[in-house]
Amino acid sequence: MNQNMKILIVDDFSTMRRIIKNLLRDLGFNNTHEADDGNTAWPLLRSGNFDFLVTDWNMPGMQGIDLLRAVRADPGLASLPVLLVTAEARRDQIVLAAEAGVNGYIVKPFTAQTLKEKLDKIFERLAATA
Amino acid sequence: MEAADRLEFARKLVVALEHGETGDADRWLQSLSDGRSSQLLRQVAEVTREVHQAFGGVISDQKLYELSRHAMPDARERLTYVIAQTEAAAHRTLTAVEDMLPLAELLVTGADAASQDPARVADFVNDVRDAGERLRSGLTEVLMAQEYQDLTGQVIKKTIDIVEQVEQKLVSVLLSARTLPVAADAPRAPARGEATGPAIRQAPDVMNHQHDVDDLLAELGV
Repeated sequence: MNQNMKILIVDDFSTMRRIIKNLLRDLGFNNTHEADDGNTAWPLLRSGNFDFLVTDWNMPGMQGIDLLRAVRADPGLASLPVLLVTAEARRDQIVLAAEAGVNGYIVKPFTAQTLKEKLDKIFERLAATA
Repeated sequence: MEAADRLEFARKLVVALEHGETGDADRWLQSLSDGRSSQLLRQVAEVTREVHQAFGGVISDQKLYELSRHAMPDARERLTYVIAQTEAAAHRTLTAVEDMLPLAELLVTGADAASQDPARVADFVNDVRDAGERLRSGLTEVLMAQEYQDLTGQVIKKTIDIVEQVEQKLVSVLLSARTLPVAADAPRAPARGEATGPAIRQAPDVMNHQHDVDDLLAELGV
């Protein structure tokens, strides 16, 4: 896994962004950037050469699921790995996220260990299919 | 209009039409439709009166007036305070943790270096002492940041109390207007994919643990 990869963290709560940023730093990822909803994330993703997207689902403005769909529909971003980190935990939502092409799904509250496991799994899979 | 009256008008309408008396026919037709209209109007008037009484009860109810005028804005203000307090406490804690994490790192790398080179032990002991002091003050900061729980707990309790009062009052007003439905409807099920925030109670369609989510994703091939 490339420790220098550029990661975008999208969550409307600045405290949650700080927590994820700290956990990622602890895992050796220092190149993290932040946005507070899909609308502010989208122009960053379009112009920023990001390698990985971590997003919340429920946000004002553009929601995480819509951001995921927008990413998959954009030719330049379609293959960007996306991890949802959200308190939304209904079965239909997880199915919807899978259908939309999510790479990983973490329900809040979550642990540092869970984040590490999901990152490892996502990048192992990507390496296997590459 | 009674059914017998309507039948009588209808018969007279048929007789008039059979005899080609169009003037009479029009008159009987008018009588019939007048009856229908007045019946409809009576029903509308009745429902209007009931609704008016129900809302009159709401408006003239002093307690409910006070609740809407003061208690609801008060509850709103209290919850806004809770958001501000919890957010401030989270940031205060995060700042303390971010300050302390490099100290922990310093201790680990310092210990590694000292174990390889005895000449660096004295320096390391000084670093440990310095880091220990700063960790103590950082941990005290984390400890103190938890004081929000006491304050917000009290404020939320008070808000629950206000919501309860409003609920009781509204139910009693609805019961007093007996023609309005008071049966509790089941809460609306969320639309597919609709974001509803954290699940605060058990539900069959909610995944309670990460491993349930992982199992479902595995089934779906993710």
